[in-house]
Amino acid sequence: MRQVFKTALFLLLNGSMALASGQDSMGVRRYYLETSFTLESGSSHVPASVLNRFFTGGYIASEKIDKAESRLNSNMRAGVISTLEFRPTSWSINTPMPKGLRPKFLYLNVQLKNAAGVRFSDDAYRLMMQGNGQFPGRQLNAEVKKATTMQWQAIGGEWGIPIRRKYIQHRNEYGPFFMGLSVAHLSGYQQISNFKTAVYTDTLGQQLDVNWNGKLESMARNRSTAGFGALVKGKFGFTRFSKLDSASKKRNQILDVEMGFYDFGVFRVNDVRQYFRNERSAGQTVRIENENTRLADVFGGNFFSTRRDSILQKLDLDSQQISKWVISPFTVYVNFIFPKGYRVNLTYVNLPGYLPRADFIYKSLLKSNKKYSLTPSFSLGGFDNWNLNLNWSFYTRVQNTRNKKLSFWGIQGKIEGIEALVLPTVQHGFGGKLLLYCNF
Amino acid sequence: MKKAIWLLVFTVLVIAACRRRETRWDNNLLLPLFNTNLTLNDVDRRFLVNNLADTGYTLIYDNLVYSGSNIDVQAPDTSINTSFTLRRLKLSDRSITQRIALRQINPLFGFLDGQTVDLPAQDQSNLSPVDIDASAFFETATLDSGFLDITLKNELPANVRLVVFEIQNADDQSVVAIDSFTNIPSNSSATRTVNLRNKTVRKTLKGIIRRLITDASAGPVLIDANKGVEVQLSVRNLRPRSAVAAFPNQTVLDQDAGLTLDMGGPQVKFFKVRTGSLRLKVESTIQENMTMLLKIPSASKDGQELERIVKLPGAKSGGREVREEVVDMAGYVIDFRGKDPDVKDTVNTFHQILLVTLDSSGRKVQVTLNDSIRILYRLEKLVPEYATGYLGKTLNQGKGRAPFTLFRGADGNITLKDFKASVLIRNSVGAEGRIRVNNLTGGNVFTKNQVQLAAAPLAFDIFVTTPPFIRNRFTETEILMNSGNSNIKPFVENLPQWIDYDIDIETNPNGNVSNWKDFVFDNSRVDIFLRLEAPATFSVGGLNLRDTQAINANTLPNLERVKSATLILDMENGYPFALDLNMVMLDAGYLPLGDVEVKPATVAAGTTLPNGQPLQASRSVLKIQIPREKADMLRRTKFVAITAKIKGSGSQQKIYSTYTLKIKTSLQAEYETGI
Repeated sequence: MRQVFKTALFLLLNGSMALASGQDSMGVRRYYLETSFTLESGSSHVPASVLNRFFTGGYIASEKIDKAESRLNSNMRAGVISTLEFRPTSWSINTPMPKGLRPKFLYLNVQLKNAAGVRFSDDAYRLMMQGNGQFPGRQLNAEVKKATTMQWQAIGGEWGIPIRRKYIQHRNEYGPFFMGLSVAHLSGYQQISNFKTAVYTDTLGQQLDVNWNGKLESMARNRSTAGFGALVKGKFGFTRFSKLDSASKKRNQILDVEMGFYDFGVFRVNDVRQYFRNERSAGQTVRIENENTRLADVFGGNFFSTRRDSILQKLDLDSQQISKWVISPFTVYVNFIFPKGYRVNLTYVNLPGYLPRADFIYKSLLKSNKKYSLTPSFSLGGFDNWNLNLNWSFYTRVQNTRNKKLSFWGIQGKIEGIEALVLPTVQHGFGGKLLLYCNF
Repeated sequence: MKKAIWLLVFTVLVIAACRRRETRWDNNLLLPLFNTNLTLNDVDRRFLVNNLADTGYTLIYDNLVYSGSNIDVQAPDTSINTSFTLRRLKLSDRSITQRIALRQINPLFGFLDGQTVDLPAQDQSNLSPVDIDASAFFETATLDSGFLDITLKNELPANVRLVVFEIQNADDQSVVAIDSFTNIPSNSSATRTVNLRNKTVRKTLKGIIRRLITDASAGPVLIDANKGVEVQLSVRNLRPRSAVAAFPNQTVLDQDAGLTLDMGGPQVKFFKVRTGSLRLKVESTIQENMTMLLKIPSASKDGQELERIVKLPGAKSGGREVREEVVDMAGYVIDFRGKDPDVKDTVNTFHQILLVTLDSSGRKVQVTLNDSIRILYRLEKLVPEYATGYLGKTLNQGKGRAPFTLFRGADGNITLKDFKASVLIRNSVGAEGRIRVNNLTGGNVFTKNQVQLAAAPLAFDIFVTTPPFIRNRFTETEILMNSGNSNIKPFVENLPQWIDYDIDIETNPNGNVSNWKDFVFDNSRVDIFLRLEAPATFSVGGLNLRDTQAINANTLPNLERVKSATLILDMENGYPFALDLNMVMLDAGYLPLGDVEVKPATVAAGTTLPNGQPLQASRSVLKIQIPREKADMLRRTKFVAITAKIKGSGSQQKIYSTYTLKIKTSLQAEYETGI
């Protein structure tokens, strides 16, 4: 309910701001609303049916967890990124860029973002997802090289910054240079670094040998003012043309290039609790055995609590509360757009477990009508090793009979990891994007 | 178009309102729990009396009803915190001598040196200053008090009628002293004393003869130009406010006194420390070495008095030097009879000596009144091993419920006959006592029956005596009960699992009759038992042993997340009979929630020699499974009833104390975790 209220408040506030100021160069008011939801998940080895529960929540059946057992290896990756954005503006696609070098305000932008990525070993999966009870008489060497989760809410603006055309040619609706600036509230932050835990369980579970090393950081969730920061984004585009065709007197576009970054920012986090083993105990294995005790102490007292305390005491963990600067998991991309709609997109996200990603996008399968498109693509990298994807869109124009204004609305979508949806037990995540927009 | 807008708004709301549920999955945990050994050695040997050679035992069972230490000797943390400043320091008394020669008084005499001439009368003013090196005193000092003695010795062959002599600091020409000397005959001297209070004196001085009037010589005299006026400067009783000097050895703090502690009631004469420490801390800003001696003649261990010396090097300029030492007081006996018990024998007072000295290093260091020395010594967390003295007259009421475990759950073929019963009071507190049993009521949790013990011998006060002053020694007072003087038989046959008690315990009811000879050890207490004595030779065929334990589920972390569990019992049975195990979960009202499956249900018997002596234990791994469908039962469980049915041969069997049942347990649980 709180989420509903918060979102409704954003809509009222930002929508009214956008609607209040819309006036294009022709003197006709234009309003534009866009909302989008993007999800990208994946793993090199963990099944999508397991992984996506970490985004959607809910119960993961043990059978699904166990099925991954044979596919695990010592160097695995996984991650989930979800973004909900709402972008109202008075801008219209028919509005030309202003003359001169004055920046033009384009959008308000409200963003809710979750990002998580991890690089870990197979035994880390076993220990976390299956537990040591399935591996008596065996040592599990769980390793998490790096894991980061962050959640934030941001609000800001986006501007187009024109550049003289003699320097650059473009056909980008935002202008040759586009930038955004937002303030953000960080509502969640956890990080694990060089986490190595070895757990040996004897066959009857009467003895545990535990070695725990690494560093855990977690922001206190009960502090609503724990983290604040700023995010910036920028985009630059240009077009390569062939030489002037003397016969047709036309230049032919041979390549559009867009490059940019977004969600780059820093957060100041004031309430981070760090856990680590101190210098005395680091690297030492502690043994937890059947404690010699009286039966009455087990049943009647706080035996289990004291056992837990004794394990922590044996590990001799230290903790401290710190403030620190945290860099956001930003994205850098370069898109190559070839004639007839072929594209190659290169993307990198600064998250553990995310490999540089290349998307090879085929032209639209629907040729005749620009209102519809259906575009397959193949990607390498990201959280997965590879993905089969499908982009689609629908767009329509509406003639307002009363004031003759031409409006339109459209919807775009993308399904990533079709193979994961078809075969949910394979080690691929899935993702997608849904974007709705209208102009009136 | 409005539809499109509303569609957008609706979509945003729906997506944003999707509340993410917790991601959950089941983890399989395998953890060691506990181990325990059950042997007859766990039973006090006094309970078993071999009354029929090797054929049987008498079980003497003392059930503790009340146990309390009514005396609480407290040794509060005691500290002495002293700080002092330069007012307690002093500088050495020193002297220097300087001569003002005749040639310095008048250069003319330099030409007449060695000649015999008439010396005319002289009247000269403001002679040239003469440098005086006072570095033997100090580099510089601003004095709170002190004196400078100026002695002028007339070496001239004529009388000196007047000398006005002035001493200046060479650097700023500030006047240190000025005085007039009159009528000093030849080869004699005169002394004047100058108060140096509030004056700053430096090591480089100038002596100036402001005026010199001499008489003419009585006739021709031999002129020795090197002789003249000898000036001797002596400083004494110097108390500097600030100084750069070489400070002499000196005592700056000297305490020798008794220190009285509040022991919380008892009047203690002697106190042996079981645990505790003495913390010493010295802080100094003085740039000279210090020594602190702490001696507690009242505290001794192995014949040695407690003495600690803390050396503190001089602090760096503007810095602070700290030394801290912790002395383990365990084993020390502290005499609390005061500083000199032969003169005044008191209580709760110990003798301590604190001596702080400044150790001269010969270095010239700067010390000001702002410099300080802080001394902290603290007796911390002293816990007595024993204390003697007068423990005071105290009255305590013991009221509560004690478990009665002898018949806990036994519902087999035990026949209670020929037993004897008594109330046994075991006192290891070194003071007389008076005990009054107001109520003893036994209750059976299964039948809900309660029986109050009514015994004529318990209607009167019970007096207990003092044991000898030896650790773990006690006196026993036994009140016998039988069918004639009590209802003990129905009380016992009720097979109580608990006893409610209401007992008054008074210490020293007649006051200080021991003349401060009471004592209390750290484990001294008054224990009140209900003693039963019965033959222990019995048939083990078909005997059920039942135990009921409470489970405090509040202490089990996240019990609601346990979906199923298996308790693994690794048992080594050295007893010559097998056991069938069964567990039943009970709710808060002792109503069964259902039994849990034990696989295999039988603990195999160990093997024995023909004479019954244990030979080899058998090992059985039992698993007690609580499946998913019974997980809810686990969450509602408040008690567990454990039944062990002994599978005996039906004939009389001997039980040896060397029989052992070793149990190691671990828990395998399907545990729902989530993030």
